[in-house]
Amino acid sequence: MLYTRLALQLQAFTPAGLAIALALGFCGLFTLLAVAVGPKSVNPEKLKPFECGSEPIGSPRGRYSVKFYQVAILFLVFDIEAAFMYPWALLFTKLSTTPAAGPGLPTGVGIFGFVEMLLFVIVLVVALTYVWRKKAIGWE
Amino acid sequence: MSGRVLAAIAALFLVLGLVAAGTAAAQPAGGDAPSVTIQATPGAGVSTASRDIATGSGAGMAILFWALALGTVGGAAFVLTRRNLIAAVMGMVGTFLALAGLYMMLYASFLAVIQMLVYAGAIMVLFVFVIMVLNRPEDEPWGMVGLPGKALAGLAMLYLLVRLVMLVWSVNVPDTALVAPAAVAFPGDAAHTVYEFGSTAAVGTSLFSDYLFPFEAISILLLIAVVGAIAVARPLNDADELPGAQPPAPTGGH
Amino acid sequence: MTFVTTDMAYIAPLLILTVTGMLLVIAESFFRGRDRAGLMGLAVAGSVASFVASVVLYRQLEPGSSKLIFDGMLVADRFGFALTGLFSVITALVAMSTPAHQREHGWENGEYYAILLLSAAGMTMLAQAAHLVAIFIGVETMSIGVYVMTALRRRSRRGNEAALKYFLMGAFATGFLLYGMALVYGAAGTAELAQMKTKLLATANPEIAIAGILLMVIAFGFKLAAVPFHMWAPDAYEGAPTPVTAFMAAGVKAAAVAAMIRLFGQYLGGDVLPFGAVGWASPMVIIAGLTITVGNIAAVRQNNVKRMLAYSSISHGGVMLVGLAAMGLGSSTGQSSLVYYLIAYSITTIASFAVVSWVGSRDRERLLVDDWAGLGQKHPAAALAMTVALLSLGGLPPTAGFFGKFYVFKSAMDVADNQLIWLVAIGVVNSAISIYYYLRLVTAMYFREPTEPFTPSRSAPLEVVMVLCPIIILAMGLLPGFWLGLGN
Repeated sequence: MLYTRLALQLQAFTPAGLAIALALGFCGLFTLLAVAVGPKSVNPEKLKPFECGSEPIGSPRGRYSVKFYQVAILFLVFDIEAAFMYPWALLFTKLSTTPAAGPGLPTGVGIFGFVEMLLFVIVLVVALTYVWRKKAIGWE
Repeated sequence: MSGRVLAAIAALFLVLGLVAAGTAAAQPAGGDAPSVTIQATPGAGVSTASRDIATGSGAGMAILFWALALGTVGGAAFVLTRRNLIAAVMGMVGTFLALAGLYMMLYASFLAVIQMLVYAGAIMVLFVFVIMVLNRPEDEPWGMVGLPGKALAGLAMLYLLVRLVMLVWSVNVPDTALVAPAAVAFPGDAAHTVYEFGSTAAVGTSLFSDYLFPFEAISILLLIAVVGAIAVARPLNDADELPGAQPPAPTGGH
Repeated sequence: MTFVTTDMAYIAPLLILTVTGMLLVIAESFFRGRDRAGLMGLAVAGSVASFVASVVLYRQLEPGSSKLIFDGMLVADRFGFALTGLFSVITALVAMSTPAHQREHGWENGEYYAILLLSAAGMTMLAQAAHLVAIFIGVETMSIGVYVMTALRRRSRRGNEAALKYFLMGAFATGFLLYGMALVYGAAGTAELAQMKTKLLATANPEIAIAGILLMVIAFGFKLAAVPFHMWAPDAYEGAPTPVTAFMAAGVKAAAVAAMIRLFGQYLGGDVLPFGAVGWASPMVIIAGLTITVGNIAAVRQNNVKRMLAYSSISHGGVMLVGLAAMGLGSSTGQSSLVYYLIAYSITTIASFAVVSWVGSRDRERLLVDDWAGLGQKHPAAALAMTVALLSLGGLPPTAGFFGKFYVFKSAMDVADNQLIWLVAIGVVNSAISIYYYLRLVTAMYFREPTEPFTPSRSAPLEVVMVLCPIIILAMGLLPGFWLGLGN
């Protein structure tokens, strides 16, 4: 059955799954324990928002600068770029190997994989140049 | 069209995608399914013992699948019903994480990790910043304007949903499609096998050979995204300020 | 994995546009000062180089030959290079009409040219696409660039509204496109267009294939602004800066049709599939009829020239769908007539928007029909350019628009069993209606007294566009044979 096959596949991830389950389990357990057995005393002072020990100044609902958004979108783009690099790094040796010239001859070293990623990175270096020059990553 | 309607439609597609995945996964492979399963891992070190364990844990996998499916739909429903936008984003993160789990079950381990890094990480951050930049009040009442239109849209969506669910339910998965991809030995541990299909190496192999052109073309798309985001969101000079626009409040922080 | 170095030569237009776009990004990064005319020069040079490359590649290929490149991602054929040439020309003309508008309306912006060229690179990707992934990346590259260009006139509230509407609707359409592609891929088991027809005919799940294809028709309907997915178009066209509107109306629409010709016409077409197993042509003919009619009727009621042109371009999109449906139903002349129509429509649209942006200036944008009264007396040359463009849009001989509509409707008549004859009737009736609102502007220009003096935005490149486009329109109308052969 399908689920059986899935089980076979997922055995490889058993340690990771166990770690996640344990982490979640302990977090949940201690949170529940704290709620269940911890002492409770409610008074209005304790329900106030806590701001570094001082009185809250103004509403937290003000509008934020658009710079946060810019930083976030730059992060996103370069994050995606980095995501493409993981498989590339893993396969770099394979991508850099050229077939042997004949039987018994050693395989050669090519620059195919290097050039592939170079082209990709050059385009993004252009983007980075632009971002740098427009001072979008500075915070004045 | 209001954002809420868009959100509803987005959720609808999530649900549909999920139903599709669920149906495809839940379809029995026919009477001789177990033998198909075993042949699918030709001699690649799966011992009889581990196979028995796996057969025993098939029910566990079913439970895991439906839990993740429920998490996906539940997260989407949570997004729709929240007034607090930040809470809604957290619901979305739940959906993303559950989807990552589903990808994992479908052998797509690289995709699952990227889903968590990019969607539950970067895209969630982007959403939060957009919410902070806009900071709409939460107590905006439901607009009663255009209620007939909304009702009509809802009915149309319901019809679409019913039709698509019927369609997806009718999916006919051929037995051959259920054969697992070829197994390879787990690096450094010949006793275990992984399925090659969605591993980082497999994704990379097709990305850097057959899909080389799209890979390079993506960089153009990313370049446009960077240049466009900066060009559109760069602060205007003071003299250029939109008439009547509110000056941005001082940035938050402590 | 078979990487063929010579494949790179076949994407020369795409490479030239991309590299020029990157150079423009760098130039803008190190740019000081306010006048961006130099960047315009670089953009035009890049587009012209890309056009030359398209012509060279076009001439190098045998008619009717096609060659899959990059592991079946793209295809090199004469049709593709005819369209990459067209997109390069569109880009050059739009770049040339921009500096005057930027100067007059205060949105001097150098990123614009970079994004224009990168977006055009996305269009060339669509013209050559032979794989669902290539189509998707092409659509996104093109669309995201155009969203940004729409938003660049940041001091205009209408511009911001237009950009937001366009972006939301476009993102929505992308969702449909991706979902459709996923379903089709699921049904066919391949994303390569060349194998798709056989695989779809043999699929065990035809329902999934049909749903996927319908979703893709809807997505392209959004991009093309076909009724009933056109609601964003008039606002977006009106609010965008006029040169960007020209790019949206001419370039984006032509590129969307190019992708549809590839996907539906060439690879999923034929006399069996459209109504039979795959069924994209049945919704297409209905959408085409609706689009032509609704676009025209709405255009009749417009007093704003830009909105009128927006609705008129919606209606023209409907005619393109007629050609596409004809192609899908086995008409042998469908593709060449569509290419002719695309060239004619794009050049005409750019001409009309160039005049619109010339007539307005810093003081008055002069977008109402009444504002154009008396243009024929004061500025006969501009009025003549606009008249040629309007006659071509209305489909009157001897302009390109007439032959465009004629050939498209003729190819629809070629379809077996007169299946599309009712659609041709709708198209012809609507062409007659459309002449009313085009001529309304013409009569305003020639037969009414000017209410106030004109202060046009003078600019040499813009005026070159206003001279060049009408000449092409008339040349296409007088010598249609050469242009008709381009799409074979």
